[in-house]
Amino acid sequence: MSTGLVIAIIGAFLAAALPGIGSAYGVQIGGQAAAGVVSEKPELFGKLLVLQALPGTQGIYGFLTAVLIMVRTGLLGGGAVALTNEQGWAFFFAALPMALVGLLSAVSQGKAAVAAIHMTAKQPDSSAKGITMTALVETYAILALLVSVLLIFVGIQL
Amino acid sequence: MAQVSYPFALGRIKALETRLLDQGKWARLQEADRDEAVRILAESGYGGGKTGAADAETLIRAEIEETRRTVAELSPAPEWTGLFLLPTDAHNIKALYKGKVLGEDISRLLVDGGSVPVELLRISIENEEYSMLPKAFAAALEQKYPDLLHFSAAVDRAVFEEIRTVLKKKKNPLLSRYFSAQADFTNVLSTLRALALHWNSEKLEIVLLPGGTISLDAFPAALEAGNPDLLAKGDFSFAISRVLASYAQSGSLTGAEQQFTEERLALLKDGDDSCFSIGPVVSYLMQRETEARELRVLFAQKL
Repeated sequence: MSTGLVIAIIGAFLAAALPGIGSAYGVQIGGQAAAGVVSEKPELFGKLLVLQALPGTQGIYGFLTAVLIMVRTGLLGGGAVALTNEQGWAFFFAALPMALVGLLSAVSQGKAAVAAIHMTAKQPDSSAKGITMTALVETYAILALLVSVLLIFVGIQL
Repeated sequence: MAQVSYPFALGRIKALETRLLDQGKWARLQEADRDEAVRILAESGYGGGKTGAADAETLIRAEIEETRRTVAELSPAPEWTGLFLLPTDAHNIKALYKGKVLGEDISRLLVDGGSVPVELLRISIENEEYSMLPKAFAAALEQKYPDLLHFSAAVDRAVFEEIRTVLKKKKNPLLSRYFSAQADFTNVLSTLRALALHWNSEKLEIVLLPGGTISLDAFPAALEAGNPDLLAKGDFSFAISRVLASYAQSGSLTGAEQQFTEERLALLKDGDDSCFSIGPVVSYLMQRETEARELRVLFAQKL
């Protein structure tokens, strides 16, 4: 296995791990807030579940980015490409937008979800507004995913 | 016990806040006769929502005790929320001491939900063994007092002494500011009361509380000058000025007390309403306490 391939694998690891950690934290605090509300108002479970789940998407985007790196480098097909160091670093940096923005936006979205859950507890009819406000944080994770995908497929020549 | 997280506690608090009496219910309570008002209160969830309760005081007392228990149970920082339960301990200590001195049964005056169990307070005061109590209370109880006013003032000072000790160990700028305001507001209110009752400055000095941002010398000076406006100083001068201006027009001590309570609540709400702070938890407790006080006034008017 070439050094370049190892660097690319580290990039894939970061793309999967960091947004995953962020999403786990975001969903955790959302779940805690939702549990607090549901302990007093069980009828709000359905509305709050969506808000709790929203910060989980960054983990999925990170996973997707890691899989795309593995596909592009041949790790999933059984014939891994012998990448040069430059190519390995290129994959590493291509993974970083999703890794870093995924981590931070998942944490931020978790906090927004907590605020929206608290708002829904006081005004159950406002849950749609809460979902919209929380979902806006997602924009930046989607942009980072796009950049990472474009770099992996278009920006790196093998 | 596992530490309760802020998102969980605040989620529960936000749900509980919806059970506070809204303007519509207040209007109905004001218009209703006493029996009807008790029924409305019970239907609003007071006293566990049991209809057919004997009187309003039973419902109000049950609700406020339940609130204190809930806040103590779900608080992510029991040291801080415990500070808001100290006045309940002070009330119980004063009642138990008075009962002992006067040889009266005061059990009906005792309320649950303080930071120290009522039974422990009762046994401690009966046996004059205070080692299980917070240090400030123990120190106040170990002293001898010429009368109940001196004792009552010493217990109130012990509350602030305990608050200062706890906030020194576990700092919280919001709560430090809140309790400084409370000390200032209480001292201004004591001065207004002293003016109304024609107390001398020596008597006023007995009831002044430490921990505020106004020098304790300023209060007797304002009393001797007969001018409470001299007290519009310190970190909360704007709030004090507002209350003193209203008091100058209405002359109502109850109104001034209510305004000071609102100013304190505003400090808690404006100061820190983040989803990860103790502010909303103590703010809910204060709102419930204020609601209970206003309900008692409303039902007293219906007698």
